[in-house]
Amino acid sequence: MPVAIRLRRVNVTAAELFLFLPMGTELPAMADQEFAMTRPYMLRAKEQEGRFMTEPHRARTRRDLLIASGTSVLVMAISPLAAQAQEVKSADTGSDLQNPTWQDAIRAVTGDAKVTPGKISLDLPEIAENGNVVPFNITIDSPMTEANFVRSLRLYSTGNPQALIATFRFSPDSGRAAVSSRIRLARSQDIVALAELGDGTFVSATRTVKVTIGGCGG
Amino acid sequence: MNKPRIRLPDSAKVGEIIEIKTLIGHVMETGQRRDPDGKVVPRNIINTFSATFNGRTIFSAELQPGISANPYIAFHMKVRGPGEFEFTWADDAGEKLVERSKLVVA
Repeated sequence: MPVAIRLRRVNVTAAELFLFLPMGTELPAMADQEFAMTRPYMLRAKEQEGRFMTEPHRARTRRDLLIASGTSVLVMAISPLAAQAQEVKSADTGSDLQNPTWQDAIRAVTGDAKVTPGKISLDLPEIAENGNVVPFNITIDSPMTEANFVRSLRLYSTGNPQALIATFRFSPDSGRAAVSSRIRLARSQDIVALAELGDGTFVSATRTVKVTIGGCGG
Repeated sequence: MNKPRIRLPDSAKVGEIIEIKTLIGHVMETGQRRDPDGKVVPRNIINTFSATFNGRTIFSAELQPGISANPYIAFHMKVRGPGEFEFTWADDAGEKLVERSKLVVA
């Protein structure tokens, strides 16, 4: 029983060893106590390294990313017009994943109309500890009468995978052009609120939010 | 989609502007996440919300994945008389939930 002899010498119980070593494994003949004690950990570390290297999820993600970035560069280079057309088409459905730049998403909505800063009180935390749930409160200064009311309010992210966060539509019955909700922020970024007034002009406001832990679920 | 919750004032006066708070349980899956096998988890979010009072639309919203799970939406209404609210949520999976609540006008 060579195993039993070595076990006694290195002062490791058989149960501990069997946790890490396959049956019948022999420790090195010259093993001193220190080496034998660290060996299980070394084995475990090696095992984990192997698992990390072959982890299909991780490997695939990285490859996908490379392929995706390669193709998007190609698409942008070949067909800027096609991309623009698609962006305009999808502006209101908000599926602007093809074109993640928030400026373009805003331009697709405003067109040539004038956008002036002001009239919007955009209430967001300066520092958000959890990017998954960031509360906001937006109030737009408006009489909210049949003749003059805020038609819509759009909220844009400058650092999320998708620029448009939500579109809120008011009516003269709203009484007050105000909305509160909670948003996801992938990282620290600027948030832009864009409101369309009754006369077809736009007002906007921007706030910076620092995010400690990002949202969007990775 | 589950557990819609509506918070209205107990009673309101004509001409008053009241706040209506709504909350509903929903995962709001962004479509950006991957499961442990590396497959993209398909997007499933509440994409539209609307609130009507006596049949007139007061407020509506088109939501995107940037809205947090279990969406909370609060908005306002100018009270013109008693009546009933109808709140509707619809998600990507085609599910629709309607909740009604009465407004008492003193």
